Amino acid sequence: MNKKARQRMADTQSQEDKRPLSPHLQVYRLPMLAVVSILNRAAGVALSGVLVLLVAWLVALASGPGAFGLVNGFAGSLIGKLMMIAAAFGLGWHGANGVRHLFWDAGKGFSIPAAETSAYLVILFALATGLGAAALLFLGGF
Amino acid sequence: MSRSFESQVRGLGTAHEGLHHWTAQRLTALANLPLITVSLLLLCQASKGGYEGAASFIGQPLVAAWFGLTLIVAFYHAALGLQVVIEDYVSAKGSKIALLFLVRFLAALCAVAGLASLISLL
Repeated sequence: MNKKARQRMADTQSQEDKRPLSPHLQVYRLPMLAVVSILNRAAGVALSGVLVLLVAWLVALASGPGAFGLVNGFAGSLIGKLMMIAAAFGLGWHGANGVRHLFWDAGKGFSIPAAETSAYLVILFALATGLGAAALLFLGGF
Repeated sequence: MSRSFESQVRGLGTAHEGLHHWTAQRLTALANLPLITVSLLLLCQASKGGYEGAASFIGQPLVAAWFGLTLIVAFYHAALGLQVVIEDYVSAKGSKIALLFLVRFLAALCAVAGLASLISLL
């Protein structure tokens, strides 16, 4: 490698060093809006699993009392109830944030203050659905 | 020139796919709002009377129809969403194609299993 080429490589290297880095997730605290956004995706993936569990419940119901007792018994256990509360929280989150996205698709609510207000509404709505499910399951006798 | 322009207008630009995914995701999202809300209320009602109560409540034609439509739209929406997640995070082409196929197959299988159960409860 000649001197010129080596110099060119060093130049490229230093240019690369000056480029902005993408957020390094282990040391970078994500802004609130980014956390709300990524949790929407996580909730969507989790809700796909919940949907499969609901089908399992339906299949068990159609299969007869034995299978239904097994699946419904799990749903009524402490773990089942906690999973349903988490599912309600995720559904509230994904549903409310989905409505937020539909408003964005319509061109409304794009300013940062508006996005922050709607993000807090999403968090509040998800907490309300999660707490509502917890009240129904532990106090309402379901 | 006019042909490529027309294909761009039809949404078949560089993505070769068009707007279909985007539109379907929004429409199923909108439809899911009333479908899932009412389905959850029905599910609360269905869970009251044990096995007999649930089977007879969900065996009503309109209840079963509402659950059936909810399953179809919800699994369609789930498959569209999981597709985006896979396309974003899985870069190896072979794994991507395999996962996309698997997600669609499982979504269709679960939806049809749910529909078959609903029909047998009628």
